[in-house]
Amino acid sequence: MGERGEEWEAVMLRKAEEEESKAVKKVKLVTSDGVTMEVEISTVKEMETIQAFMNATDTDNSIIFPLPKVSSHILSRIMELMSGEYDQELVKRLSHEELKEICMVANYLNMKTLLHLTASAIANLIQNKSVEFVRHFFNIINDFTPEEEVQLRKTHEWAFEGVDED
Amino acid sequence: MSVPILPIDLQLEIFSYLPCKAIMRFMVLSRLHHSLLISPDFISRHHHKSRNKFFFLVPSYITCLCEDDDHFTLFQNLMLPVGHYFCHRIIGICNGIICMQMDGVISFINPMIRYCFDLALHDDEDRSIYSYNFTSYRSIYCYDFISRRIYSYGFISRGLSDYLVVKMVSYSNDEGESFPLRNAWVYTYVKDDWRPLEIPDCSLCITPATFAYNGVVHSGLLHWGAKKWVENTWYYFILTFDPQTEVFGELLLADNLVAALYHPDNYERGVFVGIFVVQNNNKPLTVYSLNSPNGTVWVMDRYGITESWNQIFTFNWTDNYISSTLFSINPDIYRHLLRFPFLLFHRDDGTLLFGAELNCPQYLLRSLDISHGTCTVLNNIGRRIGEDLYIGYSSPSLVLLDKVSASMGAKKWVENTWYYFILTFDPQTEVFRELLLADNLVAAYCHPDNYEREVFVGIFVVQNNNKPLTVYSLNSPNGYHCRATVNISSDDVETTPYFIGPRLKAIQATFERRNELEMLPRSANYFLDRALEISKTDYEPSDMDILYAEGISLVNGLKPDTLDEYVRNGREVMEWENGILHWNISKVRDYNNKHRRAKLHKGKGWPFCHV
Repeated sequence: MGERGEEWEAVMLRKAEEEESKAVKKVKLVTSDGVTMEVEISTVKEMETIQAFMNATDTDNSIIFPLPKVSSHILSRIMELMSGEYDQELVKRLSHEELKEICMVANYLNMKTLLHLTASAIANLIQNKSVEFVRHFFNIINDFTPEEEVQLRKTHEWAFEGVDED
Repeated sequence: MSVPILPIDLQLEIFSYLPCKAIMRFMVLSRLHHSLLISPDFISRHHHKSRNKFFFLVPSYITCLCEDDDHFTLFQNLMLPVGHYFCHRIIGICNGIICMQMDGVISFINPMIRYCFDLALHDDEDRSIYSYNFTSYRSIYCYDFISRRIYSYGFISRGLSDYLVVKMVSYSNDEGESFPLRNAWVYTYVKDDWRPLEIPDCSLCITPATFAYNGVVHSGLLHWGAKKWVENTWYYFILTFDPQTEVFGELLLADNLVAALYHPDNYERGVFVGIFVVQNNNKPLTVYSLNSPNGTVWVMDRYGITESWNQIFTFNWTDNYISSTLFSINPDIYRHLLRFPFLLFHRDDGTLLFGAELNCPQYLLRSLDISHGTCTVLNNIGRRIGEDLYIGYSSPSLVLLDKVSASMGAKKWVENTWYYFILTFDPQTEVFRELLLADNLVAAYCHPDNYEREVFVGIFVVQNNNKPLTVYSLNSPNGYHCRATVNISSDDVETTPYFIGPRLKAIQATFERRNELEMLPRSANYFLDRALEISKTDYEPSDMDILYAEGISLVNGLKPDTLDEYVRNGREVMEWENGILHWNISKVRDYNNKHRRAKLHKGKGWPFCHV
């Protein structure tokens, strides 16, 4: 009986510790425009780049993590998406520029779910678009000569049918 | 806010979510995109994201793709290069590649990128009968009534890059109640040749409608229903083929299923009694046993465990309820075995998809819900008598895209007619070039009628390993699409020295490992030292080069293999490389001798070869 009681106490103590650490542990993210955002550690779990850094340094509760490539506007958008459990409807409301930036941040911070969501959203956006639209969208410089391009288009003429108006 | 520019790797990640058609379009974005989108890395990345789609193919009639087997109406028409001959037969679908027999030629077709690759013709011993007497009547039944032979096939992939076709020939025995296997071969895409296999001692079960049926892929193996004569009776089992080891195997059936097929009456009606492996997507291995007029459906819940066989459905087709109520057909017609409904597919929702030939050309598709005993009419389709119908899952992919783009047939509008040539793309220099065809081949295409039906007229470069550049030309007289394979020897094609380019990789591999190779012939060393010069596009062999080239003998009977295999065996690499160097050098020399006047114009865009 005594042994059991001790075990029980140990379990409760560990739980309490865990809860305490959860409550206390927050991460400060400093964006490119100097804004500091305080987020819960559970949020950071999905950001594998930050997570890897934290695992490596094994720091305590006060962590400041600079994100020189992320603006506060985009970070708040990402937080919205995460709290909304990556709702497709939320993604649809984003502008093209926002979508691209979030996709880049998701890649940079190695957030798999968000990367999948944004990449497939962009793919959905461009799948019926013309080559010109996509060149503009990704800022791609066309280095084919006009003759070469005409030739390539002719080779797979069918692939250029049924394209949406830009 | 600055405009974000997505790095190329992230762009590729996005492109990997796109449907194949969009990727075919976006190859035009830039040179970098072109070379990355056709790379094997991207093709496999794209394939991993691709979802299984439901293929529904009646070769000469409907070819379409559905989201899943629930929605037969969501058709996306697949344009197959199919003409109006009868002899189409679908052997199988793997990674979105359809393996199909058209007019006796087996082709791999990727409808997503509209690429068709003809397999090397296979000379089985009776080629004459096969090619001349292969009339529509016999070929649709996969059965040669004169020589009493049945051709059975199977199609399976080995990874994403290698594809195997198993071909088996069985001859009818004197009583005509069985067709023991006499020959078996396997074709591998990487090696592009047919090799004989050890022949399993058994007969394949033959179907009422088309006689032979094609192997069904499940758990990475091919499966056919089979039987053998053991102790005065037929013993039924499943014949398997493992693409990794290229060996046939046996999968045992449940004892009571085998016992049911023993029935003495069966010997009388022998031919159409049998077991047939049924296509499915996520279901366990499913077998349809036909023991006229009874049918049973069995599943092997855990693959490879004989004890896990489970009978899920049994019926009698002469039963009024099943035949007239569910299939709305007069049960009397089932006395004629050819009209027997055949289990085509075990659908994901557990229903069974039956096909029944009613009156030509009508073909009934019925989905039978075995738990409720209800039947859904899916589609009444038209098709030719006995024509193969294929339904099954596969994921559309870009596989073979690297082949279609490396060298492709092309045409341009010159002087009021289409001028056909071969467009080449060199990945080293990222430059497009033209390769000219023989004059008489081009002339055949200038036929004024061709302009009308231009879509199916064209030149297609055929993939091969060490054969001369082969072109497959398609022309359509009288509105029919016929095919003529033209082997173009090096003499028929005016090549530019550029032609060495694709072989450069092999030479480089040897060059890097030359220290490991002992006993290198002097001449080989000479050419390896000059590898850089030789690989240049404007290379002209010096007298010394030609002298050394003479000293190298082409190694006869050596079948070039994948580069990797040869690199593993250093000696063979050298021999093979010698062969290639010899081939290249003599080719360049021939070229220079014949076309002294040929000049290579390196204009702004297109370097054309003028004679």
